Amino acid sequence: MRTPAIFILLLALTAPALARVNVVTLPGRDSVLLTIYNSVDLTLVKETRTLTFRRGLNRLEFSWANTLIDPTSVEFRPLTHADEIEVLDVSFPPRVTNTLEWRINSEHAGEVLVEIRYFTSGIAWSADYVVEAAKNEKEAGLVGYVRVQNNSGEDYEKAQLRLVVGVIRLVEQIGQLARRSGARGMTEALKEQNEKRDQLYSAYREADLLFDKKVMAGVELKQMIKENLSEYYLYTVGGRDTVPNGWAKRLPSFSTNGVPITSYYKYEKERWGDRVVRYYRFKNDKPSKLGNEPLPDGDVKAFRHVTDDALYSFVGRTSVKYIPVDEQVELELGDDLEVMVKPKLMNWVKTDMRFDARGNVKGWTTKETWEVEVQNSKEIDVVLDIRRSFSGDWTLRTSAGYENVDATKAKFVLPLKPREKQRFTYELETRHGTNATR
Amino acid sequence: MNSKLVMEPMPRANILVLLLFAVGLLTGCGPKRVPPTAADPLQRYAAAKALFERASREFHIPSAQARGPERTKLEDLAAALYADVARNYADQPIWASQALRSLGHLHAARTNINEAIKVYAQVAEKFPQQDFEVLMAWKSAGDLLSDADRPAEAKLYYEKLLARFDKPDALPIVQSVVRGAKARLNGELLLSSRDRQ
Repeated sequence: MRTPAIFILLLALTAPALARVNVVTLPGRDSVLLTIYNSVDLTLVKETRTLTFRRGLNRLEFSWANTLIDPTSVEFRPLTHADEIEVLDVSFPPRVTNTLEWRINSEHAGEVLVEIRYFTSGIAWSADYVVEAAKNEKEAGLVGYVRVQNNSGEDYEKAQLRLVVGVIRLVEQIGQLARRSGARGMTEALKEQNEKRDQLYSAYREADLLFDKKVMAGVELKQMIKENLSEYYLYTVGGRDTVPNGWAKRLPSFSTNGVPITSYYKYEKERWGDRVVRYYRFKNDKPSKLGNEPLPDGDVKAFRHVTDDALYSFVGRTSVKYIPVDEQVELELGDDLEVMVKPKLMNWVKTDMRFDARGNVKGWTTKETWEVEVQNSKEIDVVLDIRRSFSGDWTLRTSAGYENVDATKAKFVLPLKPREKQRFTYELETRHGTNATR
Repeated sequence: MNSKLVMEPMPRANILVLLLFAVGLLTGCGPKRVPPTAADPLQRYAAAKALFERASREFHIPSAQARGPERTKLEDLAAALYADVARNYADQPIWASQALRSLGHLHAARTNINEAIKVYAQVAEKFPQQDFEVLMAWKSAGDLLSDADRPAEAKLYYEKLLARFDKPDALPIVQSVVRGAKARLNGELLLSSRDRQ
């Protein structure tokens, strides 16, 4: 087991000043709260410890050696007996490296609850989701997880986790700064831009105060909750978990059953060639039994029950971008060989030829006849969305229903029964040269 | 396929080359570790960081627990690596400035006060943009001189520190350091180095 990189050693200097120093206590953390910002590599750590002070001058050491803690962000404040505790000085003891020592005057003899907070990099989190579609693909269960990865150099035991989703303007600025700095990395970028860093820390500290006020107001902490703070959101993961240095931990964030989904299949030669691609679509809203909070970016794995006794089959995997409340999400889950679309050119003619005075062709019209064969080999109903792209001045004639997506694309939507095979045809007339009217 | 091991007398020239190589190794003239070139900043950043962390993790921190010759040996090894980083990675100010300050700490811990002060002063001279390193180096220099009953020299460092860092919007940790420097200047907080052992 590794030695914790941060150590706190409380020493008391009893009067008279020349007396030997006594080690009063070496307390562990009472609690630790990690607020992890997704947009930049930055985490606010707040730890509380119960220290035993003696009346008079006390010394407290804090080391950040071999961690990614930013020492400029370290703060000490008493949570109890605050009016009797005063930080007189900070010095840097030469015997140890990257350690600071607070000299604290206490009018109180006894236990004091203190908070030490600082920013560190090296802790990241990401979301991932598992979709379990029912056999008929009409509804699904959705389970969300968060994965916290700790490479900060420090173990955090029984930590409470807050995860911040979304962006704030300042974070974007700092992010750009880090990217401009390239290989030198975030730490150096921040150090070189002290002013911006200070603004960032200040903004995050203010945000943190607001978070605390919400929590103090009695917001339930045992499940993922949403805090809406101007432009970004805060999740608090229920319970406490130990996140050792060098480890990643996957924690459940929410679980919802009976989410209505629409399963459909898309065919578009220009995007996927001859493949038919499966989609699940649902909405992040209350009627869909979701909508409690925006869903952060993350990977999605989708499964489908294939038998009544809950035998699963893997449907596909994809990733989603940040999904605000009330927004619809489409999961592109890869191709499905059980649904087939086969367009075939059956006839092609050139007509309405026009010539200029020299006998050169100046206008003509082509007529193509296409037959599209579609087949559903699955045992469930499917909806097929076939998109065909055209260019120039074109007209489509068909008995099949379609709608124009835009000036160059038409969409045919076909519901197919299990094991059903259909054919439809369309005639495409395209006017070229002087025949074109648009 | 069968292979055959053949032993032949070594040519005289090869023996000479080997002898020269062995002598070179024994006299410390062997191949030297060459720092990555300036053309590769990513590698140089990583190399400087690795060296600094090695000095800190393997030698400097353990030296605080060691006693006698073992402590001296660890401090020597840490000092050599810190000096290497400060000298050969000046283009990596994050690590070079920390290395220089840490070297100052090593001198201070050995009560080489003049040498420590000299090195602390170099932090601001060589890496003036590294605000927090400069702050720590000046505070360390002031405290060291103050504890050594050299108040006039300590005053110079505290005054420099206040001139640069005493700002109302400074970070909380900076404000605490500034408060301490002011207290020291005013004759408060006069704790001698004996209290720190």
